[in-house]
Amino acid sequence: MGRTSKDKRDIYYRLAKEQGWRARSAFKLLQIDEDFDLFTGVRRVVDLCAAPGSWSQVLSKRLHENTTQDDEQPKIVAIDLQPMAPIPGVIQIQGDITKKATAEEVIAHFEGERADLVVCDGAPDVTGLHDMDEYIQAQLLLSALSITTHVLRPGGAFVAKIFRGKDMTLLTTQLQVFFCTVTCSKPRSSRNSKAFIVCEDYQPPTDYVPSMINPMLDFDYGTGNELTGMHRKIVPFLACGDLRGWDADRTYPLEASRQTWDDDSYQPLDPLQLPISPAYKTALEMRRGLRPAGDGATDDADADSASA
Amino acid sequence: MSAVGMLQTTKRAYAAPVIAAYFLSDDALLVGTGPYVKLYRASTGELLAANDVLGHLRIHHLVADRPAPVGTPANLKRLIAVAGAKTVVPLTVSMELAGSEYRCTLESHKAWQFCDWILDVQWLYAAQDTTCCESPTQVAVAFAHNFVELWSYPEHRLLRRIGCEEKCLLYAARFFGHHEAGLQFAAGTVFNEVILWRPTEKEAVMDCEDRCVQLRLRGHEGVVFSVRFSRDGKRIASVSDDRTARVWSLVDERARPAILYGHQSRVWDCQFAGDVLVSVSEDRTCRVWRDDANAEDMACLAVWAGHRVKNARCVAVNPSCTIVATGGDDSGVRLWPLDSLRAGLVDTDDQLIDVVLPDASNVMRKESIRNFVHVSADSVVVSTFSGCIVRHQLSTHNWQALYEDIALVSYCSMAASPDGLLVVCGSMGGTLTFLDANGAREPTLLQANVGKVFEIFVLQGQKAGEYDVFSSVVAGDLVWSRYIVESNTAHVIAVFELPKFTVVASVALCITSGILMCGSREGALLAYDVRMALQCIDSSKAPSHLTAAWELRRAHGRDTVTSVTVRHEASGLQAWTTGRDGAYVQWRVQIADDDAECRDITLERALRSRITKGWLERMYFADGEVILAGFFQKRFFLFNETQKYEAMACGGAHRRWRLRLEDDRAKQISFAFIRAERVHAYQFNPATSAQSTLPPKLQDNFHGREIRTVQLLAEAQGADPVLLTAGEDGVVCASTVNACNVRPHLQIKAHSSMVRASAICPSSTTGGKLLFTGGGADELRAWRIDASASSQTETPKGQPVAPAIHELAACPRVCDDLETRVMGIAAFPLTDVPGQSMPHATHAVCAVYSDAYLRVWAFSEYTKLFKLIGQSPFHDSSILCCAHRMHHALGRVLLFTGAADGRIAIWDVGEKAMWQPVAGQDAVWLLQPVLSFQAHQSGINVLDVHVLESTHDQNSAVLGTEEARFWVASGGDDNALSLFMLTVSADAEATHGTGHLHARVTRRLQQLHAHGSAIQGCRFLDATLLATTAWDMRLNLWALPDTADSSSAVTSEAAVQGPPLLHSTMVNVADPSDLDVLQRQVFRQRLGLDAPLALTGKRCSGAAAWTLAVCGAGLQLLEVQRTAAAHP
Repeated sequence: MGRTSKDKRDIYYRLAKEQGWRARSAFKLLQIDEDFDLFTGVRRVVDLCAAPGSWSQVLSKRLHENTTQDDEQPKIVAIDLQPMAPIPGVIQIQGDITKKATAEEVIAHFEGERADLVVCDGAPDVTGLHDMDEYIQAQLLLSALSITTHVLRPGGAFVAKIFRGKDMTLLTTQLQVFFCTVTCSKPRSSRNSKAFIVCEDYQPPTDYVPSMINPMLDFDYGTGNELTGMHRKIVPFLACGDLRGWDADRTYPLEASRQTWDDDSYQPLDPLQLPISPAYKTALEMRRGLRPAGDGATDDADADSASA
Repeated sequence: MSAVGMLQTTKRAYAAPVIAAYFLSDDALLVGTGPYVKLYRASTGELLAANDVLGHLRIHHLVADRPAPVGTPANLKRLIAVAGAKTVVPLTVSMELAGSEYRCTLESHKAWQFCDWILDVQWLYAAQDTTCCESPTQVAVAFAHNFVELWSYPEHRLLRRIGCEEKCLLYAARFFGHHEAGLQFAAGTVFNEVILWRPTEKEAVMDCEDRCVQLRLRGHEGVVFSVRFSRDGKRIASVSDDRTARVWSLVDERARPAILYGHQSRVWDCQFAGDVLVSVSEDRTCRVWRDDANAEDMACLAVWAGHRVKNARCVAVNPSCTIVATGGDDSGVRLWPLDSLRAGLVDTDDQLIDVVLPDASNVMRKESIRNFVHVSADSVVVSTFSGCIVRHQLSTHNWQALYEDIALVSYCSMAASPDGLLVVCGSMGGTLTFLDANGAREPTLLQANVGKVFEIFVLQGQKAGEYDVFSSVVAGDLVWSRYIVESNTAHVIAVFELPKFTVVASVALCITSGILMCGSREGALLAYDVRMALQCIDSSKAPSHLTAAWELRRAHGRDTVTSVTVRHEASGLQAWTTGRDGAYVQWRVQIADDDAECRDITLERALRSRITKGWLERMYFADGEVILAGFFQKRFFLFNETQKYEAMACGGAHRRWRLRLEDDRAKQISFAFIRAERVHAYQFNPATSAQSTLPPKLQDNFHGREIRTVQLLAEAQGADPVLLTAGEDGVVCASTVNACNVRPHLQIKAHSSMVRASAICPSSTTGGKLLFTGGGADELRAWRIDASASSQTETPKGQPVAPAIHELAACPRVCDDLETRVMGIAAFPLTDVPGQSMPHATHAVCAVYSDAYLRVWAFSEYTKLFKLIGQSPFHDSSILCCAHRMHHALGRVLLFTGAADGRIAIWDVGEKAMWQPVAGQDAVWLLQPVLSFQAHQSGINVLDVHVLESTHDQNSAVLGTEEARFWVASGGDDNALSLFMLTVSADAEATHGTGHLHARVTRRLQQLHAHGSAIQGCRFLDATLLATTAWDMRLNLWALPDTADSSSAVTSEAAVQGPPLLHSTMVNVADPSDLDVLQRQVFRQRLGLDAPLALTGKRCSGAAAWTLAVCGAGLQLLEVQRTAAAHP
């Protein structure tokens, strides 16, 4: 798909490039904030699975906007396994969120204080096997929750991506153990089955000791758990973002997002941050002949049709 | 018993990704799809048994208690661990051969629940030698968090839980060994490594202590999706996100792994299979690699593209390593003969037979092969640079000179007759030379053309010993000449004038109907009436000059029409064309006024199907099956269109190539081409291969990607319904139900992008129906469904007949922006609209688009044209769904639309004035809704409408006017289900079809948490029942309130909580996208309910049954039965 084509298909993809966000997901956090007022009074934030960094960009911009010279300066810690281009005002840790050392490093940056807010926009690559993808996504969320219990102050908030699949209700039930208010929120800039779980007012159970050693294993629909029916506990749903704002499903003419521009000749913009090195990089280079092929690469996908 | 009777849901036919496969013996294949285990007999394709084993879960693994035996034992009993998610169900499979039939049973035992996601299961025995053990004593289970549990069997008690020092998530794990001591374990991690550790080693170590990783295999650049041990356990194969498979030695740890590049996308799984390794990938192919433990590289021997669009998921190999089975996301299960691959169906140059000219007698001449024809499987006739025509036998390398002519120096076009007895050569000067292929007769020359003979076609004449020869030049006429063997003479019969820019590339002659058809290099298709020419065929008469009776310039776009075939079929004269647009087209040939001197010939496109991104070159009808030949990615392929499998693939797209199918059954195939001035030939004889009787597939290939829309059509005999489906792959498919399987009959790829919506409406001209499909790239298409005729395939007795689908028309694109999607369609015949004066057989097609427009089109069945009648940008947000209802008493058609901003709008699309065409005016109406209101927080994904019959109940009697009432149900992205009662009335002075409508919401109910996730399907079953489905994979049935009950009347803004949930069941289709409902007539007949059920405001809760179809990543049919009623 060409750049122009993707620009047309997705208004937020285009807006993100025009407004300088590293990914369209920036709008998701902005829209969640519109409804949940996440950033007021927030001084310390952790961004889990941060690459390529659009949420850290939003956090940095919004927290510094809310801060006067006299206030304590906000601290944002971004964690990812992958390296990430630097963002002004954001402390970066390249590390694994399932390791206790990472949690300790975060607290060290906060000088012993705990975070007011933890956000996580991480998602694994999907395999297309919906049950497995949902499971892996749930494990990622539970890992995020696990480190969150180490670093979040009571009363703090946690926002994470969630897959709206078959067993979502099981996961949300577990989050309700730790947070007083749990809402499933789908920003209008999100177009697929991914939604966000907004957990407010962190109140861990009194006997809870944060631990990384035994990962929290998710519950199952067993006997006693209702598979179907109204007894399932479904958390409230809230569509967030301005209803009059851009509509992710809608096809807009290319000029739509640029009313302020004088010149109406459309120029496709380059993405601000190219994808981090993909797993198939070597395979691709071999196919393009950039690397000597060992063997086996017998046909050429780039040639669309036969040659005469 | 509830107020609306007992509800029961039963799962019926199912088609979904096939994730697990395992050969029980050489002839018995176990397959796991969704929750079902199916047992197939590979040699016959017979489904022996099927069972729902995992309920609401999906089967990921099938693991037998002991190795599969070679051969086909008469009795076989195995214990299979059927695993999916966190559950294992032990299943006893028994097969007993009684005569030639198998008697099979699948017996599920009590399910075992575990605490984590299962990646592998292994049965363990008390002794090293498993053959001397009666039954396993332990079960080892591997989990995604990299730990292993040992459970006792059969009592199922946890013996030990063993962890590993590596704390990370796994995508794959595999046990090796059946004895507790020495049990090996390999795991593929999310950090791109394969790690090996021994769960049962070092008894002295405390169980709580984590085991050390013994070996790390590093190199993959992506997540490892599967690991497999070789049969001797000395090597490991791993496959990954990085598009490679790697084979590692466990014996020599320093040896570098073999890295297998070739798959175009992620690799999901692999298997060692004797001397080869097979792998399956997201790129839909199964690749076969030569497995040599000593070599660093493993050559790719074959690429089997057996699944549609995407994802071959699983692969199994039978114990003798003669058959490979692959399962795909398209629900297909394919069988591949590994033994015939070994026997020679391999595209290596070793199998090429080279034709090299013998040393030229005169070395002064520059001699090379310029052209050739195939005259038999073993013989070619070549023309050389110096003008020699020589016959060559491939097997003996014998040469036989046939002819030499200076006129053929450096240029000679050639063709051979189908029987291989006549060779015709064309020269620069337009002369044809007729040669006996065996050199038995003197050559005959005929000055047929003016200019260089570009292409020659030789057809078998009507009488034996006669040949019809067509020769063409680049800018000139096509000449028809006839050669008669007996007299060894040739003469010109007719000259066909060609339009400008028409270079003939293919020809077909049908003498009985007097038609010549030809296709051109520029994509044109022409038909000539040759009846008159046939009457004066005598050589003494002057040739006739003919002009085209019918012409179509873009029959295959601008691409070459590579072949034409004309045949008499039961349904009349039919033509087929193939083109370099990768498609073949079926045409209905109509010859009007048979007695007239000059007859009208018209061709109507009945079907277009695109097979390849490459070129389609030829079409053969062999033994009732359609075989297509073409090129894709520099490879020649033969595709069996009837059976939908690739018959062979070998190298090379070439300027000069010939293919010969030696007999009707296409069992002897030879393919030859010129490369570097040499003729190379492949010879195939699949008939000699032992496994040639292997059925190509056990389960049909269905949609390759998610199905977005489904329509259920009532089958005439009242048996199972016919399914029309379309989805992300752009394919429109008609299927029937065959036991527990969905059987696709017709799959047409006409949409260039995904199909998102469809609508059905009765045809006004035939007894059939019209289908409209819409989706990406602003495409909206019309199709005709002929219920009577089966389309292509012979249908066995007692099997339901699939309808034939013909492409009718494509709606012109309206948006500048090709990314605009058609999101929903509603269609109805305009005869339903009182007072309209549109021509007969015109239909209203209301389509909603992602650019926020509603567009109302008029579609004529006669002209096959769409005309835009009205539109509206009212919603100002992407419109996601629509539905229409005719209200007879009101005399109006109402359209309901739901948009991404959560608003529902109601439109009067049956207004008379709109459908009064004004001569000379093409104005498009700007539509305004009758009513609109907020129904959901965000996007309305689905809505459905139920007309409440306007009985003279108390309310309308008081008002004194006719009021129409509707239930409108909508399902949202916000998990909510909303139900509105809408009351609509027309102006008092209004007559039918005119005047303003007034609509208001009189009742409002909302179930905020109807589902755990976004609602994707919503249908009324009758006046009392509503069905919904959502991403949470549940099918919920809701009780509609009594219409007389006014407790939910709109009194304030707040909606009343409701409707109540009656019944809920899990469906096995992930990512559900659509739901359709069909009331079952058979059931009603069985109950003696002849009269249609009165779906009125009165409570109707009689016994009834419905078939429900849920589509998404697969398709499931369910039956809902209401067995008893509680009150009248």
